[in-house]
Amino acid sequence: MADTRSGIGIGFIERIGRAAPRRDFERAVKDELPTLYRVAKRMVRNADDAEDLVQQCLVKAFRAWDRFDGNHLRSWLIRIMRNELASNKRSLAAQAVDAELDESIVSQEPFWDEVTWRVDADHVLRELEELPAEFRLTLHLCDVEQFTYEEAAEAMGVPIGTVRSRLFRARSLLRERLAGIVCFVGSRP
Amino acid sequence: MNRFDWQAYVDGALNPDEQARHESRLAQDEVARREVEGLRALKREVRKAVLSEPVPKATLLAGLKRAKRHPLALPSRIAVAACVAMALFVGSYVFNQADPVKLDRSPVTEEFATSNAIVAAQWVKEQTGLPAPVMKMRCGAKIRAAKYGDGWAGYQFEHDGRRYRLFMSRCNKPFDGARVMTKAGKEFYVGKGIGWKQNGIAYYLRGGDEETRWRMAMECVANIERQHANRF
Repeated sequence: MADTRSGIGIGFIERIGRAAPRRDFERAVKDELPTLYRVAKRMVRNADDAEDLVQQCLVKAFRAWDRFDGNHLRSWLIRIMRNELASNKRSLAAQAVDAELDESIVSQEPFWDEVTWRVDADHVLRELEELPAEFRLTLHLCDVEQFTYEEAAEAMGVPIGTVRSRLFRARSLLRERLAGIVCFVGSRP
Repeated sequence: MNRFDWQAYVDGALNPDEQARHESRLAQDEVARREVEGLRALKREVRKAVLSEPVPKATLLAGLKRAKRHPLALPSRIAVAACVAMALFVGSYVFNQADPVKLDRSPVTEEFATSNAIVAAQWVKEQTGLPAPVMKMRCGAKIRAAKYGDGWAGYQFEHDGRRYRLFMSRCNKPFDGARVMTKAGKEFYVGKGIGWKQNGIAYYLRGGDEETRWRMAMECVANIERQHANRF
């Protein structure tokens, strides 16, 4: 008798256990919305598409919420968003090819010691948008959202070593581009 | 580890021993110090710039609430029940006017409201297997709903307060009886709406005024062509 009750009880708890997280979805995800939007915007580079992508991600995330293991919510959501982007036929393959840039174009010359920061936020954003997609996303996750390498690797579905190298190349490229702007701004009358 | 990894140092990704070794090196290496300052400045400026961008919080919050009510987010039985109920309600007005163009006239099986063209296309694809294109319209027409019946699927748009419906079907001869005309090198079939065939699918756009309908039709053709080209 006790076993039977226990069996029913466990079944009931399991059902409730599966249902309960759905109620937590809104509360858990709410705080991640700004991050999701910013990351989406880095991925698609315009506000309307970013909103659409976040919306798609939320629908899929809610649908899969029962299967979420509770670890690294932001990374999980961003992974969903990347998958959605891929399924939207915004060719990730093309972006990946994009990312295979020649490292030799990266200058290692530090320019910070000779110039003070003379670029504004618009310059930074514009140059950031020009980076290859995977570099842009890596830089965003690590420098803006302050993900650890592990979190960024999980979000992008790549090894930690790839995050490190993409980050290095992204920063070097951005630095290179901003150096050009600083020189240009500096040379103006 | 013999070399110095200033990036990992700046990112706080070193273990305590390595962190201490890097700090000790920094104290005596001017070039390394400049490198670290540069990396920190870059991180700081990038973060500052991106965080200065506005975030549409109200829209995102509304989206979060909508996500929980979205048919795709519901367990399938509930979704089907909800959609069938909605379909019974709205089914009557679909294809209810005389028109020489005959797409499949079966009743609506399911419909859901969405303002997201990507979600609409995805939903139609999942439900029908039709290669539903993403119809983001530059002319200002906004998608309002997606629907499908036996052998066909459709989107509902709104533009300047007027409703337009784009139907798609694999049926072979949907445009018998329609007037044929050529525009921009493409053959169109004109009845009460504008029909055309593209990549094995017949499309038919109805509703609103003729001028907007043509603009939308031409944009649809371009969207479909672009997405078809990306797919292959």
